[in-house]
Order: sequence, then C-alpha cells, then structure tokens
Amino acid sequence: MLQVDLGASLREDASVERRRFPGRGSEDELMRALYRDHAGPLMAYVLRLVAGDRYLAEDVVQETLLRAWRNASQLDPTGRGLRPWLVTVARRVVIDAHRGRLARPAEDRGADLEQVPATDELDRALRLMTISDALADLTPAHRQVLVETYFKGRDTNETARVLGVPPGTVRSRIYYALRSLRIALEERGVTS
Amino acid sequence: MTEYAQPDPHTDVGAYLLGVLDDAEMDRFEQHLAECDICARRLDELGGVVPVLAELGGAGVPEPPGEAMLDRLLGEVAAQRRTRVRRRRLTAVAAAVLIVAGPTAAVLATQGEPVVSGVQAAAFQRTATDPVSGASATVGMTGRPWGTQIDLRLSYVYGPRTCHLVVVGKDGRQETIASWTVSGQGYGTDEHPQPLDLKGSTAMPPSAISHFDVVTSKGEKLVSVKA
Repeated sequence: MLQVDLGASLREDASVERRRFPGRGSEDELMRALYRDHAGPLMAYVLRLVAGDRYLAEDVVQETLLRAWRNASQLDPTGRGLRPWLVTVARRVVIDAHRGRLARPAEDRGADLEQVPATDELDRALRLMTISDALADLTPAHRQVLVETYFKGRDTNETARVLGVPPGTVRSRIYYALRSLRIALEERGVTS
Repeated sequence: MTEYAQPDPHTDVGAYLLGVLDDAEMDRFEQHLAECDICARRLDELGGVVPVLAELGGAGVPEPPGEAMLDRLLGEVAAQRRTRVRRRRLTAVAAAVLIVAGPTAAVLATQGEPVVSGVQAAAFQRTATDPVSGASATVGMTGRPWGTQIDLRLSYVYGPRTCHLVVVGKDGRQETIASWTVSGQGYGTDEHPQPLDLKGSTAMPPSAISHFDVVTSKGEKLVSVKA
C-alpha cells in the first residue's frame, strides 16, 4: 500500500511541476518515470554484469537511464521494446567502463549490431528484471524482511533486532511476503 | 497489517523455506511439519518462489538505487536544458548578425543610390586598425554647405569604458564630435558581433581635417584614422 502511495505522490509532484513549467515539467516527469519503472530492475541486472560492484552498477544504471532519456524521441518509454534497449545499452556501458571509457563524453548511440546481447542472455536479463519488478510490488515491510533475511543472510532473531520487532512477527511477515511474491510472479508469467 | 490480526501458527514455513530459522527453531518446525497438513500444503505452494529469489540474489542484495540517483538524473536533465537555451540564444545572435549584414549587402548591391546612409554612403571613406588596441574604425566624410558630416563604424572595441571621437584639423584644432559608452560585451566582438555605428558633424570642411582619434575618457587612444 505504501508503495502505491509513493508512486502516486511522485506523479503528483510531476504534474504540479508541469503546470508551472510546461517544458521542464514533462522532461522531469519522463526522467522520473524512467527511474521509477526501470532503475531497480536495471540495477538487478547490472549488478550481475559487474559482479556485485554496487558503485559501478549505480554509475552504469544512471548513464543508461540518461541515454534513454536523451533518446526518448526515438524510443517509446512505455513500450515493450524499452527494456531490451536498456539491457543492450547497459551492457555496452559496462563494456566501455571496463575499457576505461566511462569518463569519455557519452555517445548517443543505441546499439551497434555486434554489441547486441545474444538472445538467451537478453532473455535472462529480462527475466531478472521482471523478478525485480515482482519484488518491487511487495509492500516495503514485506520487501524489507526478505532483504534482511534471505539476501543479507541474517536469521530471524537477528532480523528482529535490526527491525525492532518481535521474532514471531519476522517469521509471519516472511510467510506473507513469500505469498505476495508468488502472486506477483504468477501475474508476470514467471515460473521456476 | 493482516499478519497481526490473527496469530497464525503455520507461518514459520516461510522462514523455514528461506533457511533463516536458527537450529532449535528448525527442529521444532520440522517436528510440527511432519504432522501438519496445512504447513505441508504451504510448503508446496511456496517452494517454487525460493529458486526464483535465488536468481535475483546471484549478485548481491537486489536493492534499488537510492533517491540520490534520481536527484543526479534530474540535475543532468536541467543541465541539458540550460545547454539548449544557450544554443537558442546563440542562434538568436547569429540571426541578429544576419539582419545587420542584410542592409550592408543591399547597400553594396545598390551603390550610388541616394537612399543609402551611414559609412557606406559617405563621399570619402578611410579605415584604420590600431595594432596595439586592436580597434578598427571606418570614418566616412561627406562635405556639406555647413561643414562635414561624419559617419563612424567601430569594431573590435571592448568595454566597459566611455569613448570620444575627436576630429583634428590640419591647423591642430581639436573638436570632440561624439561620445558613447561601450558595455562589457563591446562592439564587433565575439560576444557582440554587431559593430557600433555613430554620426557626428563638424564645421570644418573635409579639406581642413587632418585625422580622427577614437580616445577613451582616460585619454587612451584606441585608433587613429587619417582623413
């Protein structure tokens, strides 16, 4: 619920700004939408590309979203083709970063043919991003309890101390979080 | 939240699936599971979710980037917007230069016609560029029954400063016939490509004029043009 409210307030901010500054508001709103819809999922994919280097991953995600924004006139920011484009560009930015060229002025190239990932790699990337979407669908409390336990490797008692709630609450919250996640994954056609 | 409303004794199955119960809790749950159909069913239902989570956890904690990234992105958007505005302004300056160049071209095409005015229309024109100040001046002189009409076109002059146009007669007599200010952008400069056009007059006939000096209010000579 909290998450839905957060999204609504972002959209509300953007529309207030648009009324005040027509050009500026819609540009900012596009960037906010790109960030809101894709930054997290892209992060999940890029983290894997850069072997968990969070700083580098953030740079890559930021550069990729910026290129998407600059190329918005040629892209449909709401279309199904955007994620494959993002994956391709992110992959290219990672390759450039490894060659020490991230600091070079960005070229607004989309995808060279030889830079396009193989189909199975692209499929894996898109699946990862969809799983990330499903996780983002959870309430903050549910997402948090999964992150603190499963992803950070804490047991329920440690997590209870970190979150300041009783251990029984952590255990039941995990159960409800997994149930919500199962539904969110099913809605997106993700099966194990 | 719903989980607080009714204590559910069968919820440890989630933590058990994730492997985050401690040893004692795990033993206790497994004994319970052996006799509980509800937990066995829940185990089946949720069993498929964990391998999917494992895919996501392959490269660290799948936490989205912080709000600071959104701030940086919006900062980039604003920076690019400023660049575009600057480009539009430069285009406007270029257009202004074209407008200025327009009448000049028209004058060249219609030389000799009585309607033209300014330096190009003058009977005599003299141009000089000062090697020190870099200022360039063209003076046009047109004899009139009452003296001489003077047209000045000045380029490569930088400000801020106040300047005067001084006419010097062959007999040494000096007369200031015009004064003006120059802003920081200057005239006929990269920042302000349009030259400065001024008019003046003197009672001296053209034949009595030795030269013209463009001087600053501090007495510095910017450029001198022989008549």
